Amino acid sequence: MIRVAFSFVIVVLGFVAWQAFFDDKDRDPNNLLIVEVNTSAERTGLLRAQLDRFEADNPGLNVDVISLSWGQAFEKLSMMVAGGQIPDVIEMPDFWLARYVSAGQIADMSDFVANTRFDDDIEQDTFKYGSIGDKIYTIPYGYYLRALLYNKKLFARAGIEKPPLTMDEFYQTAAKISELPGVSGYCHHGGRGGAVFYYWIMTTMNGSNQFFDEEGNSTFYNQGAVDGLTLIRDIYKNGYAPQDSLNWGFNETVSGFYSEACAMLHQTPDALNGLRQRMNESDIASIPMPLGPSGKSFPHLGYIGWSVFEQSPKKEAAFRLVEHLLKRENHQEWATRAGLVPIYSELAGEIFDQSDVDEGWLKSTQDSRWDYMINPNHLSDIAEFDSIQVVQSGQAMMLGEKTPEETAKMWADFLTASQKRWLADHE
Amino acid sequence: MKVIKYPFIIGFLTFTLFPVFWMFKISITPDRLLYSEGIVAWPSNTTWDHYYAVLIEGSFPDYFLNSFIVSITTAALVTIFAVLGGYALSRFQFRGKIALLIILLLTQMFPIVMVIAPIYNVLTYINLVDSISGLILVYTAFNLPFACFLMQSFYDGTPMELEEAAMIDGCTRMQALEKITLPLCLPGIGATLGFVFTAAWSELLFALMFISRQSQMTFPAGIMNFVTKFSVDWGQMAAAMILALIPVCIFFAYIQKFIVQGLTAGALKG
Amino acid sequence: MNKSFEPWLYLAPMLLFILLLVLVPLITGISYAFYNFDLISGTREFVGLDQFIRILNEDEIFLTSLVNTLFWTSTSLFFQFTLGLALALLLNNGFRGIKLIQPVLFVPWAVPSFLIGLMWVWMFNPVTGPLPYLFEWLGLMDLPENILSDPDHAMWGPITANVWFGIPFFTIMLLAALRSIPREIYEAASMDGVSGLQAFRHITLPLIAPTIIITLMIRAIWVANFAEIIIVMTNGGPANSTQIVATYIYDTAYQKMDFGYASVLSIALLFMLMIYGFTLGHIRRKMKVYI
Repeated sequence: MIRVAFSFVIVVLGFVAWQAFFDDKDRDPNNLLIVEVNTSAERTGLLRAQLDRFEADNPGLNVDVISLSWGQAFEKLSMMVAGGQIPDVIEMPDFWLARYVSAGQIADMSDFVANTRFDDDIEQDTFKYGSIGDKIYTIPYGYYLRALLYNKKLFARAGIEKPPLTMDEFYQTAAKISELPGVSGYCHHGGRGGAVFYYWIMTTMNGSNQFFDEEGNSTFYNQGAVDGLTLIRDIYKNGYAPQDSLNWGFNETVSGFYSEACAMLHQTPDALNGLRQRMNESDIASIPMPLGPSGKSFPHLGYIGWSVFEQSPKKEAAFRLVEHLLKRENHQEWATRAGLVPIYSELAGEIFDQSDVDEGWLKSTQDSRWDYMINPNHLSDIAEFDSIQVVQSGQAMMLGEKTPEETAKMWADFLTASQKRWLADHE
Repeated sequence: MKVIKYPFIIGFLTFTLFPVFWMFKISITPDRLLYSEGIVAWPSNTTWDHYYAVLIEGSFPDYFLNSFIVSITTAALVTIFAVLGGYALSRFQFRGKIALLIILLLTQMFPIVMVIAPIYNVLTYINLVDSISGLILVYTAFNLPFACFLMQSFYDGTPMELEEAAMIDGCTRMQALEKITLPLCLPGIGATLGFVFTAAWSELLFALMFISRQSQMTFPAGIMNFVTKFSVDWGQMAAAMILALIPVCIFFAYIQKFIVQGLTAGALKG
Repeated sequence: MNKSFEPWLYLAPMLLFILLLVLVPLITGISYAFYNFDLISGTREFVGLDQFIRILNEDEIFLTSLVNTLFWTSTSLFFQFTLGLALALLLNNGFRGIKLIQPVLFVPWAVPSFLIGLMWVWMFNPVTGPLPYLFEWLGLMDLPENILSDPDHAMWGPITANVWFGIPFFTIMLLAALRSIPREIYEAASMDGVSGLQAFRHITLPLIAPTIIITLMIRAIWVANFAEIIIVMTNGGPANSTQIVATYIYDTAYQKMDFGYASVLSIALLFMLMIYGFTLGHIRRKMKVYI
């Protein structure tokens, strides 16, 4: 018995030693390493196909992919970077960027952009969005623009003829749909990731898409911001949003929508892929986000881009890879498949058609009543503010533990302090 | 006694199995019916597509194999070391014992999230990050303190006298342990094996943080592939979960003969 | 062989593993508390006890999460233990079909914790699960609503999942302990005319007491540190009503990337668990005398 146990231990240690010394982990140190964070099996396949073409164009240069699952990508990437497993190219969501830039991990792309010819119709602000201060750190591979999806079948059943155009109509519509048994008007996103809805309603009621004035004071001190929070609080309090939407994340809002628990969904176009699999396409339609009292609305524009790590020993090759992924034909394929607003403006017409499903996005990009709202992504604590403070205090407000005034002031205090710190550092 | 026994057993079975049944129902429900039928005990239409996708199309057979290797190896390693360590703690009084016990207990009290980064560095240093060997080492280390306490408590429950008598008769200490004490502790060994096996089988956090390659993924980490930003593939996830329960049931059916095995008559005086 | 050297020989393989992969990382983790530590840039700046002052100076969430931790741990443990003991006694008694039923009853212990969370989220959701309707039928709720978004009762969701998951642990451990009790003791007792309940009280309980204490001790420590189910089910919400110290540590470390303060929180939790551990250890020593 003891002899058997002893031999077993020896065998296991042998296996461990083999993996430590001889297993190369399928990775050649000469290869480029790209890490994707917004992973889905289908998209990984597309990325691999584009990388294969890159390898064909650049003999001797191979690319390995690590796919992180979205839920834990932030934790895991930081672990890899801390552990010295540094990728060359990274898929960088907007709200992580300042974190990595302030840690000195991301390479300045300004020279690369200056020396590279992108097609003329590239969205003017593309490089601005990817900048912090006057340096470019990421190039968006497409835009996640918010619009309002609605369920035509439920609208018809509630006797609503016209989808809402203004904030008041949005509220009335939500109320009217909630009269249907078991259905609520609005799919509220009260859990992690839901911050941008609050920002949209606050800026739109404020009538300006700016987060700060010149001195760095937050615009959430304004009455409009409070009115916006009051409006969404009332929607929840009066039962026009599902009771459990308080905890909903991305997934739950989407499943709430297709399970017909609620009829209006504030989402980005990439949510459509999942919706089409589970609903009849003829039941889905989209409209631009409702207009505020100023006659304008500021739907959130998010982006994820490609960045290069400062410590990468092969930066030149890494830049070339980014250039390859953003090439017009690759970008078109990517934006179409992932359901993104493209960075080349002329492609928008090819990706979004005149159908009811796409109307919200097409109109938001073309009609001047809609302008974009960009999160203050230059603040290095914006990620934690979005995913923790806003979620927790937002829930407290919806439950009546805090008033909209208190909540707006609390957020404004945080953002103002952060912005003033940033301004002081960037004199 | 009899009268109340069976209702209790049925109660326990219901509480244990109902959620599992609900997952099984999800695993055989076609995606389109998942939300549209409301709460029903059985879907109007069933499908085995999710099982087919998990077993044939995906990498799950590999994940299950990795999980199985990791769990069995970890369980065996931990049990071997804990049989030795627990013996030392139970049968000897020595300097530093109290300090050792406190340190072992402390290791259980610190949140795992705080040690992931340092462990990642250790594994990088010995080139075992991103491999199942690394997982085996980490799981072994983290399960040892408890397994050791457990074995100690079982040794404490068996009398020293028989062992000492055998040693007087000329057995070495190891022979006495093997021939006399270990058979008495079989339930404890079975419990340790079962406990460590399942702990390693279901562990997610380390597996998720340390493993990136598909070829080295264990089943809990692999199952996270079903969760993307906008949708969860509930059907396949439920199917994978149901399949993952089968090896565990078999394993428990096997080790329960150790756990349930009573003591032979006359082996002991109280 | 030298008597004082011998036990260390048996402990050596185990200690080697623990030292390298648990203790060294643990000390590193504790050391974060004294640094302003940024995982991503790798920079660390010594700040001494500054971060400890922060926890003492009004960290409202910490206080809330502390109270929640107490409730979460004690309630989960109470149900896990009593139900686990009841089940162990049932199984120890034996009944028809036990060979088939026993492995099935251990199944929850083998389900990965995040799947347990997802499974119960599914069960508590009025669109997908039967529980809200059960609660309505029992008169516990006016409408079939999701308990997880009710700040007054949300904690019961993760607790239910945790109890489901944790019963087998106590069952296995206690069953193994019960099985180690020699039958003759009961035979002798019954000859002396001791009733079943008395036998349980005076024979069974003292003999399984060491196992009870060690499992209660370890399990309480684990449950207090067990964040995964809560993270999956409610993420500490709504409005921090299910925030326990462990989930707060997770958020602080991986969402705020503030490993320094997360380590301070961990040390606070460690300190409280140590007090608990020593109390139980003291009881254990006393009971040994009693046995």
